[in-house]
Amino acid sequence: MAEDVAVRSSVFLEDTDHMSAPTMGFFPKMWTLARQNPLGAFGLVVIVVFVVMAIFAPLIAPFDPNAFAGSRDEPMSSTHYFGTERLGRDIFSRTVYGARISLSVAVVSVLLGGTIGILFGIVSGYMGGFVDSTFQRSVDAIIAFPALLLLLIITQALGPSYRTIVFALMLAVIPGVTRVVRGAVLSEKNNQYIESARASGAATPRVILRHILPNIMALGIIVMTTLLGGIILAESALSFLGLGIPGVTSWGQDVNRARTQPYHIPSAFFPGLAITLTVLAFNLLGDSVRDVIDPRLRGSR
Amino acid sequence: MQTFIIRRLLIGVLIIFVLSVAVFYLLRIVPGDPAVRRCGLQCTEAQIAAIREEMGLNDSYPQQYWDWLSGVLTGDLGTSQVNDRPVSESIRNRLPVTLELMVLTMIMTIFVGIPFGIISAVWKNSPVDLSVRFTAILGLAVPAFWVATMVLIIPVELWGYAPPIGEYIPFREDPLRNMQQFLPAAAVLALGSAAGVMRLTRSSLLETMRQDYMRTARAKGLKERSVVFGHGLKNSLIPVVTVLGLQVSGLLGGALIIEQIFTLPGLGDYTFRALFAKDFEVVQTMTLYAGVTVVLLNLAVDVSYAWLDPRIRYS
Repeated sequence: MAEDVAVRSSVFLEDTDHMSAPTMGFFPKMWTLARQNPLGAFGLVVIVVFVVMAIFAPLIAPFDPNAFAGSRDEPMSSTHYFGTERLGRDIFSRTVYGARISLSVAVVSVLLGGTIGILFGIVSGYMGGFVDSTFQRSVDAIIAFPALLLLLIITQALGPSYRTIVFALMLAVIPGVTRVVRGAVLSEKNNQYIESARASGAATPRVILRHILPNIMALGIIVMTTLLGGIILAESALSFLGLGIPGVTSWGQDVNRARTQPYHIPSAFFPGLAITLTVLAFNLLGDSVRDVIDPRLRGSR
Repeated sequence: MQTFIIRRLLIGVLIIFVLSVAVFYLLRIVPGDPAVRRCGLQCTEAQIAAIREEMGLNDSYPQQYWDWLSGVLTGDLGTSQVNDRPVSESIRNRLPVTLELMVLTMIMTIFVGIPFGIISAVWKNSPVDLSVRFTAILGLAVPAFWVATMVLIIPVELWGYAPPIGEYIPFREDPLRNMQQFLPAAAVLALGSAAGVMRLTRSSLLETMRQDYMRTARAKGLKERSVVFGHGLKNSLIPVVTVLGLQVSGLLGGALIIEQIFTLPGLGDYTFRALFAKDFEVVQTMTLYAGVTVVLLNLAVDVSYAWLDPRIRYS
């Protein structure tokens, strides 16, 4: 399986460079891809909408998310699209602002954790022996463990802040990426072209950078995309439990606040819906990216 | 087989040891003096010093770790700062709650996930398949804490109905009310895992259906039903069993949240309280238990392969 993964991803990388590029422009190609993967295209559109919402939050949100915006408990209307909550804050504006923290935390921690995971995977797979088994046992230890409990302990130990949460989520990303990349490196390094590169005098760093890394990048991207949704869920769960980043508007915190009496349905419903849509979009995109880059992995999750 | 089990157990012990040391050191980073927290604000220096001595906070870290570990191994877990009760008593009282939640969740995961996975695979690309798949994709994306919150507050707000939560009722005392407490909680917790199992069952069964022996079974003139259930299902369930084992650690994490929301006094709730009360020995102990549970379950899963697929032989 892992062997096929590596071989196929390298085939894919060559394909795009030599064959499709001259015959098709960028946009027609994207259109074809979207037609073949409607769900992935839908996911991408939703993600773009949320990213735009996050970046331009001050322009899109009609009210300050933390200010009293009229009256309390107002129903949905043309001024307050989702109504107002118990403290009189505009729920639509809060939902728009909530996208900022969820998206930035998820993307930053997956990028950091993914990069470190790819690095660890390469070192582990390429070096083998004692280094490899140490890495693999550590990965086993972390994967075997309820991730949420570990996240709670880390955030409690270091104190909840943007940096702590990103750090904790990054740690949650590393083991999965390390394991998958290691498997790909193991099969890749026995290929003949690696042998010939070594025979022609290439040093280890050069072999890794020029020959191994390009061939496992596609796999790294797949794994990172499929992890994004789960990381957003984890971040919102932390916020829900009161260990999110203090002082920011976040979806998880808003759902939690609606749970203290007197209950307030709309102020829990919309942020939760936003989390679901974002995670759904990332999962759909992740599945499509995997299907496009590497059809053999279809249905593996 | 025996050597395999012994080797896996040894690796498991090593993994849990590394993890418990890491958690031990992590918890020592938390700012503040545990003696001051235990004593309260009106303590004199001398009282705090006495408590520090009693709690063993003046010892070196390895000594403290050893004291905790030997306590756990001999069953002497000390007193918790959460409720000033012996930790072993709390665990004894709370274990049945978490166990019941886990068992119910697992039953739902299996009895919803696998049948729907089979239906989806047998009627591939039919409207039934599409709607099952859509529900599964949604089930994987929806945050459990949100569904739990909505399940609790919508009936209260719209129909004035509140489930009998707040005070835990053991199954032996009143099975009906006990189920009213546990079933919604287990159903919410099972959403994600059932969706995962359904998707995996579907793809695994479809993969199996493409095998040559399935064609042979059909060519022999077997009914479609015995082809699917007699030949296909058992072989396609192996990856499903793995994933069921892997999901336990996620479910234990989920119990942390679900027990909070449904006010079930289980071990997840206990761990959560201990973490916020900064009662770190309890957090360490609970972490250790979670680790042991997961390692043993995954070993059980690996051993069950040999039964599901006689071709697999461990050496």
